[in-house]
Amino acid sequence: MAENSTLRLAWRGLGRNRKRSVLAIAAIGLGQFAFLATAGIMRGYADHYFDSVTGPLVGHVQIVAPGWREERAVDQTLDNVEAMLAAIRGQAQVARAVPRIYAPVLAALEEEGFVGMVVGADPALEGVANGLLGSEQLAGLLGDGRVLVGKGLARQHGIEAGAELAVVGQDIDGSIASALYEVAAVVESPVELVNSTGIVAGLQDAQALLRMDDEAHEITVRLHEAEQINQAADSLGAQSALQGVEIKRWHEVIPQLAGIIKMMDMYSLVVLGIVCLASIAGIANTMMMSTFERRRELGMLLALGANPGRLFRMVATEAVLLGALGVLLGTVLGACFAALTAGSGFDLAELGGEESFEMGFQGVQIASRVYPEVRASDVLAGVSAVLVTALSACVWPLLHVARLEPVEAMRT
Amino acid sequence: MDEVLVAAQGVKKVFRTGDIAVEALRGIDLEIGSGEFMAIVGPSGSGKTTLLNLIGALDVPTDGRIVLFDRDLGALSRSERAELRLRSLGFVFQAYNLVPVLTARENVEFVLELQGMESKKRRARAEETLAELGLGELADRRPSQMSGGQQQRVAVARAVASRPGLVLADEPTANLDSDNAQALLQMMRRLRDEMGMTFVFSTHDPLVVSYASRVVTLRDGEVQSDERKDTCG
Ligand SMILES: Nc1ncnc2c1ncn2[C@@H]1O[C@H](COP(=O)(O)OP(=O)(O)O)[C@@H](O)[C@H]1O
Ligand SMILES: [Mg+2]
Repeated sequence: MAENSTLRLAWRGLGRNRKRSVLAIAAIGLGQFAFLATAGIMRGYADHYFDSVTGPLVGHVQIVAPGWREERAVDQTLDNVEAMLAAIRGQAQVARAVPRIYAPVLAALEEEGFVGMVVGADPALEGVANGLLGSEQLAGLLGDGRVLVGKGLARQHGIEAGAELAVVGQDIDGSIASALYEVAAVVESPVELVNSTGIVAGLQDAQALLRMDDEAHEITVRLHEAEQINQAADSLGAQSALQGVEIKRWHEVIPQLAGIIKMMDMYSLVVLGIVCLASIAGIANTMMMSTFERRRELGMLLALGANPGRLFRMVATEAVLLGALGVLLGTVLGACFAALTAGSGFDLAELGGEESFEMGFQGVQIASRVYPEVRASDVLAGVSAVLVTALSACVWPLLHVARLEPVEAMRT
Repeated sequence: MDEVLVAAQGVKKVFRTGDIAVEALRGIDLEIGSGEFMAIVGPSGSGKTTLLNLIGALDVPTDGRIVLFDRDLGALSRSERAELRLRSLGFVFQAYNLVPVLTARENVEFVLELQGMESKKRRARAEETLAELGLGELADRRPSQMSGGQQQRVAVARAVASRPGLVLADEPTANLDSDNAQALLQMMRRLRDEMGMTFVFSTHDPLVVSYASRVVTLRDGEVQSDERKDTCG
């Protein structure tokens, strides 16, 4: 049957009580917008957390000596680091592999003593975007007894470039280790741990301090694609150079982050649930009232011989149209939000009227500014949720139509 | 009277609401032939609407038999009755005949669409019908932009557009003033005279009755009189 009047009837049907339709559309639209914005912010945050945690500090995969993660004893080292690095870099999925050394020390500037952490880092590898230093110029200063001191540590103890810093610790054999370093610069690292306690030394200087040979505490591996992590970890585990070491994925190293990311997804789902409720309320109420008001008209059409299926389609089309308009409105608002925040990000602190803030998490700085990432799949999720809801919201009105007796409906 | 369109035999209708039973029709025998212009009259509550609903296959009798276009209505399912109404009958109700969000032309088209008529054809048919009945200038108006008389005339156009075998009108003039009531009756009468359409309508307005070729008077659910007026036939 040629039913080209169904859509027109549905469209005009929404115009019968404009205020009511507009309210329902606005409620659904607001719901969809809230979902898109939340999902976008959550994802932006999750990605930001993930990048700032796995980027400079943790990496996607970590290779350490057995037990080092738990005990952090100086002598729990990886041997034959050069061979391991060569084997790791031979893997196609691997973007970079960086050896590091961590040693707690007592440091002294003239008379004052304080606790710090010597971080042994390869100057050639740490100057890039996801390195500990993030600046080639700074990385170039490292080596030959020159170290970089974290901003926080420097401020706390009045350390300036050019100062001499004596450090005392324990080497891998348990003997006293000591060295005299020259502070080449005070640095602000993307890693909070380095800022607050770090004395960054060249890898070879750190090895010399701790009397290590071709050794390091960890090798941080970054992959081209974070999604390839399982595959990459498996093939690293199969390498002969990497037997007897621990190969840890990022979520094993920092399960809290994995938990936070999962929780953010759940949070978006909760908002999606609210979208469904908003559209159920909006659509069900609107459709219930409008079918009830149209009792006589529907009865008249049944009396003329219209088949009830046709009336069902009229009501359902109207409900779906209502949902679709709402979801369209919400999607347009969501797209505007995404476009407005794409370049500059979105400062959550502004919502609460506070100053922008940064906070530390697992030794990494995290800012209140977030770069929302709205995806087509979110739009789709919202659209399908609303459409499913729209159809279920017409069940009651449809039952009403099905029970309608033309003679009864038209009496009175 | 040539061909018999409707034959009612011993038709009774009892409405039950709780313990109370109302005998709306108490045994009606009636034949309606093709080309008649028949009025059903009688005081309020005499059973006019009930009888029209039974003839129009909108309801089923408690007892007795109705044959419409050679089909025994008692033997038809609900959906077969709906199909029969759609294909073979035209209806004009007392009020609420039109879909308020559709224009006059769209209202006429809608019934043709329900019948499955193809889009171009039904548009042409709707325009042609409205024009023939002198309603061309109302084509693009919605019911809210028309007077009550205009709405009822559009309802007649809607009822006759598909050239049904029988048009049933339950108090079509009840809400109209006498000028509009006469205009509506003249229009129906012309359709009957020029196109041989059969009309059965109920009324208690003597002016409207004067247009009828046959007047069946109901009282308490029974046929009190059945007169043919040759002057008008
Ligand atoms: N659905 C119904 N339920 C109960 N009683 C009804 C129903 N329809 C009609 N009646 C009763 O049947 C009688 C005939 O009604 P009706 O056919 O509407 O009369 P008329 O159209 O001549 O005014 C009245 O007493 C009315 O109250
Ligand atoms: Mg009546």
